Amino acid sequence: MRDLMTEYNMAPEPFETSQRLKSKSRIYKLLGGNPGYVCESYLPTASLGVPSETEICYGADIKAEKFKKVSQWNELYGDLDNRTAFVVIGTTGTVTFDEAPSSPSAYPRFVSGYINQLQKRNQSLESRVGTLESQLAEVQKFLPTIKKLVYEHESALCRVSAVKTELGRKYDPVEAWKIAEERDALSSPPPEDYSELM
Amino acid sequence: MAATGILFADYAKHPKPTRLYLDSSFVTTLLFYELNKTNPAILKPKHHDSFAFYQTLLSDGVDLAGSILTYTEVLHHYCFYYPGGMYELAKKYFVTTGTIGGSTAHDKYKTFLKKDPVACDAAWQTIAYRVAATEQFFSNHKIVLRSPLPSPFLTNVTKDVLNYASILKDAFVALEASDCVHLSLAHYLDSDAVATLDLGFLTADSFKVYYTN
Repeated sequence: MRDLMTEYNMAPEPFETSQRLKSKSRIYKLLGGNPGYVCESYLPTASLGVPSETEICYGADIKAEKFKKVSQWNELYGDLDNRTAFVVIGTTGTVTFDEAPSSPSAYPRFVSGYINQLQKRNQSLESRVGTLESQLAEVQKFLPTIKKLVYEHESALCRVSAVKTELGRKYDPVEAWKIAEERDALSSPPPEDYSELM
Repeated sequence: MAATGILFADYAKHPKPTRLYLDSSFVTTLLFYELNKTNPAILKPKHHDSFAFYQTLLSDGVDLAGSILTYTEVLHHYCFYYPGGMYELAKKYFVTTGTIGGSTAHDKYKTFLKKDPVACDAAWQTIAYRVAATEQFFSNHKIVLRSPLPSPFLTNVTKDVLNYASILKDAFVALEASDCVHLSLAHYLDSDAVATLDLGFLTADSFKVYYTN
């Protein structure tokens, strides 16, 4: 599966309508995993003479004309007569078409249901944003302390790095345990004074 | 009133801890087990109990926490007390030279260092790998050293930890000074309980202590 953003960067400029149907430009999978980037317009592959309009669904092969970055995600436009659609997939990126319409006449109901689905998700996301904003406000109180800690830590790293480089050349915590197992396994019980200590 | 003591073997009978503070006696026992697990004759029941307990904690996803105190005590134990360590090397040196060197193991080590620093350093180089091995041991066993917080800016926290430790030492005769610091750190690190083989911990109020005899 291709990355939409990558494809966007590689895609040609938008085509004229007349060119659109003839164009041999790429067929894309409509993916949801590219937050913020959408296929702004697409044609079902049926328009290209391949299968049927039931392929107007998430995950279907599409002929993408261009992509755009969007600021909101609950948008769905359609030019159903021309069997083109404009789908905006938003920041969460996952949009599911449970049932694809069997014919263009069923599109309005399908679109309406889809918009409801998107609106519900929008509400859920707005609620999540509210929660995150309040969490951020909590964290912001501690930012000065955190910055100070980071500064102190970075200063300390500078101070110790030279010493560590010099002294640490033969220090090898990777192989040391293996050596320890080989050399320090006891072949007889430890001395009495050690056993008492343990 | 004493601590709530739970035998390692009774772990399953109690609510599972989220974070467990490991003191050095527990980690040292675990280290001993790992070094000698191929020779069961060396091991005692407490070694087996400790290892089985450790495995249960690991499989239960319990957060295993230690502190700088846990680390230094285990490191010191392995480098000095464990057979073949500096105390034994110092003792051997003085047997070879036909002198006494001191009345205690630590006196002998100090005299060795002072009297013949070249030989002492040569002896140390034969076991210096134990330092890195200790560090690797903690890492391999997923024991996370969570204290102290690395900042003078948080000195007040360190002061609080030591103040609490002092109050504990003042109150309980059976607790050694370092035990009190372990217990204080355990609370300040929000640990549900402490794992130890030091039964002195059992005398301290308000702590939950996992142990074995």
